[in-house]
Amino acid sequence: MSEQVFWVFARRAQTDPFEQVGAVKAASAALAYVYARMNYRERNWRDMRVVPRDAFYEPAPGSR
Amino acid sequence: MNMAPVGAENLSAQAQQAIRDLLLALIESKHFIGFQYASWCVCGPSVEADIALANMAQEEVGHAMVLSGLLGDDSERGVLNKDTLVTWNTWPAQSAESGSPKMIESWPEMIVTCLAREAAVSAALEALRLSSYARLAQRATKMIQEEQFHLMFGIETARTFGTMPREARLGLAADYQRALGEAEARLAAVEHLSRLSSLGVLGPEAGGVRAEYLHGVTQRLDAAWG
Repeated sequence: MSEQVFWVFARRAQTDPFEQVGAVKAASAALAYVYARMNYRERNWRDMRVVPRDAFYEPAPGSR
Repeated sequence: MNMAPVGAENLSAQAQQAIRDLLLALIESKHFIGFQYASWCVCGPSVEADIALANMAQEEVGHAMVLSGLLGDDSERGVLNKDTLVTWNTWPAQSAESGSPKMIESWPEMIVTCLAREAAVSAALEALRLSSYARLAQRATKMIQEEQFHLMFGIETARTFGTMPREARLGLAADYQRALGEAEARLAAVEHLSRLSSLGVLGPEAGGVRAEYLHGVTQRLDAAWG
């Protein structure tokens, strides 16, 4: 299984926006989520999400 | 079945002894798992895994300490005092004396062994959530919340072994079943839970709850390995 980078987002209250708290490298989104839960415990996050870095879309230069 | 919550003072001497016996078995399992995670937290496959292992080891130690707090007195704690539990570097010496635990030196084998031990402990805790002994039920509920991430770590790490040759995967599946059998034998959860049910500390459904939980973990692992 090849690994990819996932960005980690979290929020402390349901009404808060998600903020990026870091990144993890993992072989799957589920494993990335566990790593995120265990690696970013400096605050008592209410919700946490991970998203593949590659999913962050930006048009290629020259195509805008 | 909802049972009226009671304090330790309302439990019979037999029930208190039955709870102590199960607690000691759970603490031994927590001690074993924590030792394996701590042993691997500087040599896992990635820094993310290492940090996760370090955190899980601390949680296992914390759980062992919380469970030992329910023993009531220090008479049976012996080697399970706080210094022993939190000072990793005393464990190898103890291991040499007692013969157990020892670091499992293969990463896949450590993962499936600890997953089996986690599954056996979590299944027992799931049943103990239904206990009439309020403190035990509360602590079991809290531990299960943390354990879900330990199980997820084990299953998702096991999923990464899916790319191994079929023979190797079959060997790991057999390792898991063997480790689960050993974990069940060491924990003796079936006997302990049955005893607690007969003493009225647990409802008759406790054994079924435990078995269903274990079955669920096995299904998730089977799905992960395809």
